[in-house]
Amino acid sequence: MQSIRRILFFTNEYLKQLKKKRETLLLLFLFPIVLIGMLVGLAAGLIIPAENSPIRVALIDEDQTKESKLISTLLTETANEQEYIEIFPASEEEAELLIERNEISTAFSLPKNFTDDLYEGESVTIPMIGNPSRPIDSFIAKQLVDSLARYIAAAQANILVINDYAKETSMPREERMEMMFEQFVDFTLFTLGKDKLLDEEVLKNAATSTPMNYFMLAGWFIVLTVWLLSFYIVLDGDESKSMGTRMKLFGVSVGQRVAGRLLVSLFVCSLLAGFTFFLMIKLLQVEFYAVDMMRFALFTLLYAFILLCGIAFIDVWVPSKKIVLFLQCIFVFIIVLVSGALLPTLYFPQSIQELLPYLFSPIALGWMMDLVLEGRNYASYTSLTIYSFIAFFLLWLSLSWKERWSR
Amino acid sequence: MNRLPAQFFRLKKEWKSVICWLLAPILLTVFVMKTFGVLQDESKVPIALIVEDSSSLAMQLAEEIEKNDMLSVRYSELDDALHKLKQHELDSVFVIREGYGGSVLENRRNGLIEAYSSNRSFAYPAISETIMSLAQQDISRSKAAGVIRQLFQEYGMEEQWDYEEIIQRSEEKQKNESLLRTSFSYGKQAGQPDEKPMELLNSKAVWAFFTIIAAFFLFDWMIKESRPSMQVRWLYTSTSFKSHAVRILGLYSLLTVLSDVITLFVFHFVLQELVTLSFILPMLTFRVTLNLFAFLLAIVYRQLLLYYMTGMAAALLLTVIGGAIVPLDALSREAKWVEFLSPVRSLMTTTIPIAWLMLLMLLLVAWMMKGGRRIA
Repeated sequence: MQSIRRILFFTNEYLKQLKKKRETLLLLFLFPIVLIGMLVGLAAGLIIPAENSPIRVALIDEDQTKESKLISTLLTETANEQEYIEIFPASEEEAELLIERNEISTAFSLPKNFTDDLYEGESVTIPMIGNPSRPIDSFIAKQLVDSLARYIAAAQANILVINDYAKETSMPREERMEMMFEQFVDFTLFTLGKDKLLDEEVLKNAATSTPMNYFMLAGWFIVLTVWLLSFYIVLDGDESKSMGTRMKLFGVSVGQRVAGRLLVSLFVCSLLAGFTFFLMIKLLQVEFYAVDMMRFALFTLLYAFILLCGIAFIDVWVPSKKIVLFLQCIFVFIIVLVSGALLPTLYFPQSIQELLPYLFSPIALGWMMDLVLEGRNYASYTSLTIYSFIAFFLLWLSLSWKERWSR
Repeated sequence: MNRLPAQFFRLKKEWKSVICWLLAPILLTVFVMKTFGVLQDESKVPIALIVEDSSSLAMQLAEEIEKNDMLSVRYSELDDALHKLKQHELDSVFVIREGYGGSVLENRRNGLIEAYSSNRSFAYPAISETIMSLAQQDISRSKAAGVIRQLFQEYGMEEQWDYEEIIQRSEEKQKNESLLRTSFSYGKQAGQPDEKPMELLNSKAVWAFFTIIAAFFLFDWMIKESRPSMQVRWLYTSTSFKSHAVRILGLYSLLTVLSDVITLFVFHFVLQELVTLSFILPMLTFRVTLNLFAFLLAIVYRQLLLYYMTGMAAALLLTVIGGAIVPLDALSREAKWVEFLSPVRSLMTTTIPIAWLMLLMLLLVAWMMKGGRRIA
């Protein structure tokens, strides 16, 4: 009874302490949001301008034969159908100038004797010159040209085989060259029309489960996690040794103070997280009923509790403050990474995927995703409840053990 | 006077922690890079493959798909696979349709393969491309055989036409002669590694992140030295607190530069990173910038914990703005000034963060010139 009263006392004290640290509080509130916002902004900056202004690639035709001209027109046309890339013919000097002026990402050329080598089966290298100030664009362009080269190489082997067999017939050379050109055009067109092969269909389980929503919720999850950590750390304050001794003399245990910190961080963060979650739901226009809200809140609370227990656990066992801070941050980072908020768990290596059902953060985030995005209307709290009991028990055990040891 | 200078007192007491935090960034960088490398090799995209056709061509295609390093292929029933796809347990589902072999032989190729993806299939575009190119190869070969047959018919050599032989020859040709290749280079610069234009995780950025944190952890001496109880002592000494602090700054800078030398060796020998002479100066200026930054911030702070937290936050922010996590390519095209915001960016592009360095130097000079004993 006494101990509960003390925990309540400390809870109250810490709340007061938080009120005093108003500026820090504001910073704490804003920092994760700003960070996530910035990341999203950067990612958007990466994707959106690519749609508005396509990657521009110059094509230098040094060969100037019928075939090379055909290839350049074909490439230009197929590329123009796509939104994200634009290929246009240029001379070598022009291309160099354009790279210098940072107006194009890459230039590639069809070298001299391109056509002859292609027909004869000599190996041909297509030189690409990237723009050093646009490495990503250059990289994408290289991938594209690489895949084009792969397609043409596959087609080319067949053209060569046809050529070989044609040589066996009594066809005159002129006529054979003529036929080769026809075959060349035919195969190139055939290759570029490869998309017909696939019958594509996109399955939508629920309209709300778009990648955008997924990452919005994931972002909220990360913000919540960072809040929990930072509030817990800030509540620590700078407690002098003499104060600690005085506390001990009053019969206050470390555990009671830790419990106070834990409760305050849990309480404050749930308020903040609840508020932001409500905003997000409105923004995403997800239908969310009171029951769903209850379920979601339960998952959030369980997750937050387990996480805080983990953070407090490190606090109890490691003596140096610096290392505590560092370990707590790494712990939180790993928890976020494993949860699938940064990269969906689907793409994790097999060895880690087998562990996932036993980790609390992927379970929590998985259920949250299911509730919000897939509109699932049942939920199982068993594993998370068990985990939270285990976490609480471990924390309590190590606290009481420490207490006895230090006495 | 054979006594150690006062600057060494703190070092004598805390040398263990100092060495620990000098070496921590190096060890952590190596650890992160190595684990990431292993994980990246191991991660595969799960897809389901349903083979409805029993011809040898279809079997061959399935085998080829399975051989791909990027994919982990599971064979299952369509309903089951689609259910799993909806649960987001698979990235995509591919069906080799009934009659695939026959259609390839007859040069028909429309809709031979069915592809299902969900709206959360992030790897689908790359995978569909791969599978398409594999199937396209078969079809292309079969088309060539058809052309040759026609040719032979025209010249009355029909009895010599052999489908298997043509296919085999085409396969051999493609395998033996790497016919069409691309080479990549950045302009006329020599010595650039050509084959790797981009890496997913940059070791320099990882190192920068940990180094910023470690720098803040190392420079906490400034807060400890300037606490009020210590301030009183400087009233009775001939040297001022400021010159003492600047000397310690010099000492710690020397130590950190030493750790940087080790870092360069580790980058070169353990991570097999290309370390050129041109990298040394940017690294040195990055270090000076960072030390000044940590030092000047330490003047403002009173509480150790808050200072450490600021260090962590700064590390995160600077590496993010530096384009270490999300590449800044597209953004820096729009707004050049973004690059100046972070010294990490300068480190990654091996330039010198002039704006930062100048500003911090100015602040340091201003702090030293300002009279009075109170801290800024």
